[in-house]
Amino acid sequence: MTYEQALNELQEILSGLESGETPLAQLPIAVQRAGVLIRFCKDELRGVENALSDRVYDEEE
Amino acid sequence: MNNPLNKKNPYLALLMDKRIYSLFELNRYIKEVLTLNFEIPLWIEAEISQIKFSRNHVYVDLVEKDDTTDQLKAFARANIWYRAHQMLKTRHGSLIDDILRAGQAVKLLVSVTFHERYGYSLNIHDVDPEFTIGKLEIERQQVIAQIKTEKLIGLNAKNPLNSVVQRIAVLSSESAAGYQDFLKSMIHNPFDYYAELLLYPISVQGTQVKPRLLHALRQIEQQADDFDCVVIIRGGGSRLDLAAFDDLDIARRIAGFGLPILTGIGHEIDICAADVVAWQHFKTPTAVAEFILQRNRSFEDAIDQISYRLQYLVQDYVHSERASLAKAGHLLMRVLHQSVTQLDQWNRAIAQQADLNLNTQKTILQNLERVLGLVHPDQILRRGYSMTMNADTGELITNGENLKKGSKIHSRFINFTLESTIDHINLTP
Repeated sequence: MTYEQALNELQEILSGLESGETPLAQLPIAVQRAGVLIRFCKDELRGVENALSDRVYDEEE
Repeated sequence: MNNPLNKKNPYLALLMDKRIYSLFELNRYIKEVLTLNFEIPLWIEAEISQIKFSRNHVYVDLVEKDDTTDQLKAFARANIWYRAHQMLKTRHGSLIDDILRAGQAVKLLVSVTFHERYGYSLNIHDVDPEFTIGKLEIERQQVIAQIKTEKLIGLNAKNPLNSVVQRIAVLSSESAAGYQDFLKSMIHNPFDYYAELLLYPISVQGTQVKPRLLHALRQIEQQADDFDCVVIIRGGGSRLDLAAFDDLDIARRIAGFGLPILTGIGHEIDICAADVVAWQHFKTPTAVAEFILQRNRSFEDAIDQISYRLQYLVQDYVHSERASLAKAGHLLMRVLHQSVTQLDQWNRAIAQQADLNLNTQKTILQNLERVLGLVHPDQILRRGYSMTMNADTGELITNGENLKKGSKIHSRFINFTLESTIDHINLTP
């Protein structure tokens, strides 16, 4: 997934909630998905995955 | 310039002499003639074709080319001796290093020398930096004019730049101060953003800039998908240093390149041709890094905004759902209560009705029973009546017409029966 895709999906979730199109039953799913997307962007921005794999590599050495 | 041949015409004297001279004698004679006629240094304009620094001295090959055909018109060897070089450094500072470079147009104060063994050469005493700067400025402006003619400006800017810029191809020299500044800014950024920087080493000054830069761009182009953008940086140096980036071929390549190219090669004041065609140009490598980091920050801000908005919306949603649920609950309870009351009423009504119906039925039944009781034969017999039946057939005798004398009859009373024989029939009552 790219940053742009994540941002677009987040905006869709947001507008779904703002317009009230998202039914109550869908709310937890939408919120959970938004959380995943936000986490993804934040982690990618800080290269969390890379940092983790670097650390693993360091330890292997 | 005085023409030595016309002034004293020593060549004519030489010819008149008729004797055979040795090469040394000829050369010494030439030396005398030259020395005599070039006592004072003079300013010349030329182009440096080659330059060599050796044992504190500088050896320069000077050329002049035809403006249109580029063919060599003149050539001379020149030297800057140690003391002259020191003097130039003192007078012009580091600028002298930028001027004394192959390919540079120069204005030089020279004295003409001739050595019997080494021949003709020029001793350089001074350099006019303004001339070189002016020449380069003219060239720069010509290149920029051509860039405009070819409509190259804004072409690279048509490449979309990702909202987050993390994978960067860096064109610079590892030793360049600007590259180190860029690295420092990108890696130790306050937001802790991650960046993938891949250095493509290039020369950042001199004649090697162009071939190396074009080569690096070719390499990057082959793995363009791996990068968000290209950054060309260098730092420090003078305006003359930038000249290599005032190149039409470089400008064309940058303009037509398939990735956004950001430049941080500029000078505080001037911008070079490469800057003009870049996606965006910055004064310093640090400014490039700041732009990239700020772009990433803007993206994260947008994400945060959405995050806050979502939080707010969800709370609002839950709150209003809860409120409307409560409202619905109240309504439901009221409806339910009403229904229950109604039902109770109905229940009671039905029960009453049922009771009523039952009582009525009971009365009717009782009446019936009573009536039935009254007409029951036993009741009648009890009152003294009796029933008489034909003893043979058992039929109740209600009419005397079919009776015969001597027939046997059977009479029933309330508590006994009689068997009799008819001996007289009286048909009148």
